[in-house]
Amino acid sequence: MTITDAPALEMRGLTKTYGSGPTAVAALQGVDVAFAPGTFTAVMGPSGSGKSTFLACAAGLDRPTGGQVLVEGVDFTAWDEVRRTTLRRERIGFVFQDFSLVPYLTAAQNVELPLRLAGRRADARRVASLLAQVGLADRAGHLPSALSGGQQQRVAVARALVTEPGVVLADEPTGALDTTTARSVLRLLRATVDTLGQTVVMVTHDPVAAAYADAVLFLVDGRLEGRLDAPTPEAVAAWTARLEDLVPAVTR
Amino acid sequence: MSAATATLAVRSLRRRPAAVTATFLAAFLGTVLMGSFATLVETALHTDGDDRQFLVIMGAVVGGWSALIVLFSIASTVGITATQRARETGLVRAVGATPRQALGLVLWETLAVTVLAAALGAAVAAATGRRLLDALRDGGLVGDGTTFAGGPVSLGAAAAAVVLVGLLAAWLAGRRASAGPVVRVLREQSAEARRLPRWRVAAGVVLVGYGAGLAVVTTTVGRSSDDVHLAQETAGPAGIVVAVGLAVLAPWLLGVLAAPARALAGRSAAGHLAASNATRRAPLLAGVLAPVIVLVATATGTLLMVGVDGRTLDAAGDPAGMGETITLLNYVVSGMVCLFAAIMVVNAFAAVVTARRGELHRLWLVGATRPQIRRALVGEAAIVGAVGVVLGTVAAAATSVSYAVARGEGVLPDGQLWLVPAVAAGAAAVTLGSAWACARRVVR
Repeated sequence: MTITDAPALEMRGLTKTYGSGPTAVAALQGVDVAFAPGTFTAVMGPSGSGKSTFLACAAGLDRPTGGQVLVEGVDFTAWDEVRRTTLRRERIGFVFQDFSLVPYLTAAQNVELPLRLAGRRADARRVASLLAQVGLADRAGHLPSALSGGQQQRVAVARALVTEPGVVLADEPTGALDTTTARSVLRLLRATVDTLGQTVVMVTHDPVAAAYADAVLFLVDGRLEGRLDAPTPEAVAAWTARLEDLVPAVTR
Repeated sequence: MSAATATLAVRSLRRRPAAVTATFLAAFLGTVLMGSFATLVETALHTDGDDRQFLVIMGAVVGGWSALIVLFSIASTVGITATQRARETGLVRAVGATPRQALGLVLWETLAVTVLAAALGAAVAAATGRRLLDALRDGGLVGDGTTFAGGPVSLGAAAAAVVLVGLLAAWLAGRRASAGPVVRVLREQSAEARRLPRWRVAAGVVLVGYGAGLAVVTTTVGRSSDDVHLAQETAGPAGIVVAVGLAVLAPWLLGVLAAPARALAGRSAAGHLAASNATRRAPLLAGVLAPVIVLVATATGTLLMVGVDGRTLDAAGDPAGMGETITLLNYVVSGMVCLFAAIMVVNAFAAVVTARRGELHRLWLVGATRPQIRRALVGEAAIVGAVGVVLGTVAAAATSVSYAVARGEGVLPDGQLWLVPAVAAGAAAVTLGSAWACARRVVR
């Protein structure tokens, strides 16, 4: 891990507006937040609250309208597309709701892909040990179509960890999984924080999933409206219910 | 096929312009090419004597072999698009369509596109067929008394063949996704490497064997017959039939022959992606490989054969003085077939790459830069081009070697061997060029 005092991920005055003129939609309206290294944070909010935009801007998948995003103290907001991609695949791990595995690569080849794309040598032992960590040591040579949903998502988690990124971002990582499988993926994310010292930021709408995190941030109408430390599913659910009352009826 | 499926088919067609364009173009150009030759046969039936015999040979034999290429290309294109939508067929079934309805949807779509394309193609073929006859008359191959008589019978037959082959291909490709458990269809990645169906292996082997047989016949006929050009009637098709046979086996051949590319890719990420895709999802790229084989085989085979003819004609004796005209004829026919095959290469690439938009976006999400993705696509084209050149040259040998033997030049023609690398370069340019253009358009 990089030895630095900087937060793993930081956002300063982040805004994102889609469209322009009277039809413009403000998805993010000034988000200031920092995620310390080695923490697991869940971001929650009603649909349309800007969760997906938040994560896309954090990952460099989308360009913010205003403000800054810093990964390990590096502000890449103004970089061009190729440089942002290069930083993204080296310093940011991403876990997608739909797994996003490459269909014609085996589990092991999917895991090592970010290294290959970066022109780095793919260390076979490292890939094998990551697959072992996610419990798929015996599935290394399987194509995604031969794996279950939970197995595919665990391959995706291993892929997100392979470059030893500064931060792992997860977008509804359990959204496409059943309850039992979802739990195993959440435990896996928790373990990467506890044993590897990774930083994980996860967007979810599921209070049970959010309770695996150290803290929960609530996003409403593009603004951070609250923070809950040491969350339990019940506390998260209560918060969520309260926040939904805050949202004006017309926008729901 | 009910009215409901038909309505759904029309809506579905509007959402997939790339697939529709690919099928339309193949069916349209295919009908133009086949229809042109078919009108010669109809014209022959309204005349008699030497003209009648010549036009039947020209239309039915030469045109017949071109028809093989055309019908295979249409089947291949329809196959690509129907396979690509297997997942969608699964979705329609998941929400309650019966296997029959799901297959009906694919068939309706194919029917609508091919009927329109074949009708337009037949209209154009009425004009191009007339031009072809004019060219033959100008070359002195048919008399001035023979007038164009192509009409609804020949054009209708060509159009009907195109539509029927399109429907057959759609049925074969759509069958798998419309039968069996829905869950399997939804899970299965499209165009994954599967064992080739037995009928396809059999068809490929029979075609290659038949083409090889034609080549053997050429070597004996050429030495014994009085008609110095008779050997061309078997030499020409020999290469084409072997080429189509290899094209039928293309998914399997690509998987095997692309394997060395994995080693060659080395540490290049784009090369690694290209080689993995070419070997693991060979059926997808086989649709592009097939026309490359046909293009190389037709161009190399015919040009070398014409070269042999030019060098040995005086020695063989050419009492009728038909040498030059027959050479011109060879150029026209092989030119038409090559042009068609080249367009099919571009067409197939566009269909394959456009349908992979989502998958390419996913590569970008996991950290591939856009230049890397474009290089991976061009790398796939390089693999397909290399395999296609090798297989096409092998197929061309059935024409050129057999004709060289027939004319006493031995196994290798005495000259113009530079044509082999020249055609290879041309085919590589078409393949890489179309891949580059598609990659630039899709990956922005």
